Amino acid sequence: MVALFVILTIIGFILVDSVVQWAEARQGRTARLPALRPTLAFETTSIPAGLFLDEGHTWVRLEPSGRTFIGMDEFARRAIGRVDAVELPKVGATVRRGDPLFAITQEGRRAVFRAPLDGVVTAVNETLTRHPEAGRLDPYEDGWVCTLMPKNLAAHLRHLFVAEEAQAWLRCEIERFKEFLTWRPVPPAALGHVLQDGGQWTDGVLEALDEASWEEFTRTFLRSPRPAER
Amino acid sequence: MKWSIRRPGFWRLVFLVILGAGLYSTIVRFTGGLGASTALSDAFPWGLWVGFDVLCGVALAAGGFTLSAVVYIFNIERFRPIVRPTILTAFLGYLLVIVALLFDLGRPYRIWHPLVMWNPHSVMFEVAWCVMLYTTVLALEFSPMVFERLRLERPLRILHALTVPLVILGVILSTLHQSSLGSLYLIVPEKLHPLWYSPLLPIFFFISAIALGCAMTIFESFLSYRAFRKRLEIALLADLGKVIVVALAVYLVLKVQDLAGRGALAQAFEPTYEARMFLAEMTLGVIGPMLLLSVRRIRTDHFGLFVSALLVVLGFIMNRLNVSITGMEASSGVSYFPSWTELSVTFMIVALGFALFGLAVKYLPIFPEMEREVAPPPAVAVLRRPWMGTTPLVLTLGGIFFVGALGLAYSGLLHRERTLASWPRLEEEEPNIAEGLERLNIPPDVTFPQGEGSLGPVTFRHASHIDWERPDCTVCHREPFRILKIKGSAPSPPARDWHDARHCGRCHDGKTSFSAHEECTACHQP
Repeated sequence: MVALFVILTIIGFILVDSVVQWAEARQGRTARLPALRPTLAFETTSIPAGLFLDEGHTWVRLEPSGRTFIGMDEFARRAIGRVDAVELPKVGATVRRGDPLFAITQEGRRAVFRAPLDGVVTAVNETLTRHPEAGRLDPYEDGWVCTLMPKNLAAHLRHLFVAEEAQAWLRCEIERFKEFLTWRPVPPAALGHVLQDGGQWTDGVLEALDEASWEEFTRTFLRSPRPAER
Repeated sequence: MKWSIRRPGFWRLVFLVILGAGLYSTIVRFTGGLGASTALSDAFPWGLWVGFDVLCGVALAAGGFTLSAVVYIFNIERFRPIVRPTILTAFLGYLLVIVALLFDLGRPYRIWHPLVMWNPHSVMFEVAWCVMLYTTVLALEFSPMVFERLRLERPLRILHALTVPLVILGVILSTLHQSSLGSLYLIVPEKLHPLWYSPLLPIFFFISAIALGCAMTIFESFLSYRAFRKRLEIALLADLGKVIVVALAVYLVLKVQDLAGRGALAQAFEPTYEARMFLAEMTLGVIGPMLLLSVRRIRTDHFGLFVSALLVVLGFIMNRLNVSITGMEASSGVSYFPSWTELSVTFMIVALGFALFGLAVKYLPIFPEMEREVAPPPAVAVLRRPWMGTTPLVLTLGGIFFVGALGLAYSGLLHRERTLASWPRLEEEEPNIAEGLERLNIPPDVTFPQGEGSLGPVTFRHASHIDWERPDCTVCHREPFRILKIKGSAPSPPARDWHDARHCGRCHDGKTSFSAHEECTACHQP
């Protein structure tokens, strides 16, 4: 009887504590510290040497069949961070280079990615509708968005960056992004204030930035068409 | 008191209420005595304070010796980051055990007696010395944390040199101590229920202490995480989970072997109060966590580890209370349930433990890097989902074992009255005098030398002082003649008057037998 009583008392205390924790979390009284995130040095990352990059931060992989895989590159992926949803193109749609191809949303704001090539959409990655974050770790494999059967491929390939060119261009983009960040009101939590001292920006730094910065980012980095042009 | 930032209002309030009630009961205990403050009696002298505060307190402090043996003796360095919190727990545990002992001892101001009044034949003597020595060792093991905080270099260096001998001493002492608490119950084979009484009790206590020590380490890591958002060393804790599985498996095999060997295995499945409590204890503390922790997915999961460790802790708290209370209830013939004052003292001691742990973690370098929990990287969508999430799996399995154990314990309560009444009473047996006479081994005659002014020496014959109808040594050897210290056959000359009413004169008073003051030559024979 005593043994049972003691056991039940302990369980009672644990249950009460869970209720207390739950209540505190609901009232927001547990002043949770800003969680630290592992930061990866962006400079050290590389892109697969056989991929073509577009200046709108999409990547293109050619298959021997002529079909091309297209997705968002790692730079865009890591600058944007969390992705709430991916708007996929329609299978069978015909797109021209520079047209909006797909878009992602984050807390109601939208970033549109341009099509790097002309062609017809032949397949889309349905996994992304259920798990928009699927491409987070490997944007060049799991993160593919759609496949195109391209037209005028030879002509358009000249506008894309590949191999050493792509690396060099990416380095420039990173520098440009740092400059972009220095002009932006970055909250301290995103480690913005040490950027000038040689610090790194964290993954998903755009999550912490305001609407104006978001618009500016999509315009100058993704080279999205302006809303009026859509 | 700024340390409550992380634990606001509610628990602090509870702490104050518990402390208030505990202090009141303390006053009652030390002014009114044990009778006024506890439900204990001569028939049931060891209750909640011994069963929970002392037995469970010591067992729950076992993480200290387990982990320090792993790191310093077996040299498995990976576990070093969690040694300090376990030493802290062990130290606090032992301090609180001593506090509880001061409450429970009838005359607590005599607690130092075993230091000078040695009785090496007593288990209690071993227990007392182990507590004293191991607390000292723990204090020394704990002191570097204080010295580091105060930046005292010299004592730190000395202690550093002493670490390994200290740890070895600590491991030996606490091995002795964990098992000697089991040995305490070896002396009551006729009182403790056969499901728990076993010649192997010390070994059971020791093996379960290893499992319990690891479980407590996991459990307190989670407490620190809850209170201070300390980083959890999940990989290390999962390895401790493996150790628990092995220790529990050894325990289970030994336990079943022991029950079978003593022919008590069948009793475990009879519909009695003790059997159900025993099954509940085994389900909760041994079988359940063994199965849970064998699953890798559960072992490496926060919630899974927590639930498994909790089951082990609860199961072995139940075990210690079953040995000390449940198993003794039937033979004592009384029904024991602690009074509210007893409960409040126990609550106060546990609450003090929590508060001290909190203060120590706050102000001393207990956790090496003082790192806050780093949020895990954002979840990447899992493409292949397992058939069941880990948390629901843990809740289902843990729930089954827990509810099962509670059900068993409850069904035990239904059988309680009947079972307790059916314990064979020793008094009810008729003494078999004929057999006793055959076995009666009467001591030899004792000759007292002739004193000054005496008529002659006296030879005492045990044979002529026995009632042969109902021989009973305790008629004399209880009060008038305690067992006399006689070396060889020549007793020392009497230091007192043998004729008075406390010795021979007790019976030789002229009424029960002839008078010692009148018929001198009946005894003194020149």
